[in-house]
Amino acid sequence: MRGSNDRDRVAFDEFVAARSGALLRSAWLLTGDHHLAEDLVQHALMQVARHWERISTSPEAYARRTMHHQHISLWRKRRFTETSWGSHDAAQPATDPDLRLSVTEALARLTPKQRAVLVLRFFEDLTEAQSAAVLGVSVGTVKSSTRQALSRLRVLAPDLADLVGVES
Amino acid sequence: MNRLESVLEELAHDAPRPTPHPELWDRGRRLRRRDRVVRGGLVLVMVLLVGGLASFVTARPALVAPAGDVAPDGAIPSRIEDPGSDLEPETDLATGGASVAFVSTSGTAVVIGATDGRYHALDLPGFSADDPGVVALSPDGYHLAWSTQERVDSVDLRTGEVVGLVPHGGHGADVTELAWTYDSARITYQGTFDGQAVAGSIEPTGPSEVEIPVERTLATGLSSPTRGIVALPTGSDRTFARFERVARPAEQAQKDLRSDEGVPLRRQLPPDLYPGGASTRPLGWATGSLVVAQADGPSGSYVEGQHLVLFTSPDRPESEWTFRILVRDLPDATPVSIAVDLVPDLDGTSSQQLTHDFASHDAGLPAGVRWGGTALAALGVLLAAYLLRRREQRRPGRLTA
Repeated sequence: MRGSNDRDRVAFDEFVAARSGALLRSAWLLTGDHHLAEDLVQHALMQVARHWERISTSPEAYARRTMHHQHISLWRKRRFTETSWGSHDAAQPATDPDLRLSVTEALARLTPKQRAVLVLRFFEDLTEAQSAAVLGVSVGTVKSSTRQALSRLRVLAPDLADLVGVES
Repeated sequence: MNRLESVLEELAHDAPRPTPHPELWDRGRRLRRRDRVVRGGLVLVMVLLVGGLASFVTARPALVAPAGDVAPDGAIPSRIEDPGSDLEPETDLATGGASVAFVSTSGTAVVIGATDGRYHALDLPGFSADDPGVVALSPDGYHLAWSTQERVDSVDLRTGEVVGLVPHGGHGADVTELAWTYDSARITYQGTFDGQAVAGSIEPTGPSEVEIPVERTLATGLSSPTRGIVALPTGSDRTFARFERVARPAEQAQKDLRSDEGVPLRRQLPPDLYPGGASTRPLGWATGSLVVAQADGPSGSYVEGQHLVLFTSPDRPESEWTFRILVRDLPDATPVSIAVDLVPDLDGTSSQQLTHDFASHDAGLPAGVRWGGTALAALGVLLAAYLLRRREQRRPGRLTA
């Protein structure tokens, strides 16, 4: 059981100062939109404050789970056509030599779950089991979603064919 | 680190700089306080619904009048139900004046309070549930008589005092019928002794007994207060109620039971109510010309089954004849006994309420209403449980896509 309200508040403030940057970077990769990313992180941090006494794992793990959960909920409400990065489903010709733009555009065309597993596995460097725990799905689902995400990246941006290689 | 990781790392540098809202902690705590209030409310709703659901389904209609629902002068209840074995027999017989008495299906003597409609199961001395005798309530509702093996006893329901005797001159009798005289002063009985029919009239306060020749109609009927008319029981499917005019005034006839004169009279039952006839059993005289009887309408009657009726004796002019249904759906198991003095004087209107609905908002809900309410309550419980579960599931850790 955590301490008094003042100690809890201090601990919370320290956590926010230390980890909100990392959370915001993940949120940015998930959404591709500054405002959406900030909203996602603010919401996650407020939920951490709301359930501070009941968090048995680390606050950061709780915040990441909240963020991913909220991201998928928001995506369901707004649907794919409203994301800021466009909605084409077909593979785009690699006209832009800038690889970052290609990856950006390709990421935008993944499903929220596929994007989430890529961010968790390849940006946050979590294992399949850790990623499954964050997303609340099975390890098998993480594996299949990762495979689907990488295959889709190859289809959408053929230049990425040598980018992903073998799954780590 | 593979190239995808490198690219993602570089992309992440484009993320905005964090600017956490200074009131994050306060907002989160306010939500927490709200969660507690909502959770407590949902739990309370579930508890109330479960409790209400359980009592609604399992509880029999209460056989107790709601607080404050009384008839100060006493009244016949508009519904009479058999409590079966639900009531605990009471040893304190001073329950106050009663309006109805009968033997329940569990073999217990039951009285209904005249002013409050409350049901009492009475632990009458010598009265056996395994071999129950008969009970009879005096017209004024203050005395209850009952038969046991070879005895007739009565209790003053105001005081609980019990008096009685062994009928048939102390020899005893297997009593099968009991009835009170119109003035609540004497009890008449019918029965058998050594296979022979016997009858008598008991003054319970004495006690004393006058034997009645069984062939006299006074042995089997109820004498009216003033006009020398005796109401008699009929068999099934009769189109009339039986009466007999005694040759002498009732008071003299009570004292001198040797007269065997009598003129049969008939009171036609309403053919629209009983196209195939009915059986009637007089229970008492509400007035000098109004009889309360227990009728049994066969299938096809307007009122089928056992019910209470009030009708004019046949010695009155036809212009004065009336026929009213007092209480429907009497318990099938036993004849009832009524404190007929509680029937109000007729005011000549068909809308006059002759009985009192003591438990109008507590007992006797239609089965459809009870089960419909039960289903709604069950849905409410499920909804509350679902909302609680949804609130728990909204906590992170469960993602579906």
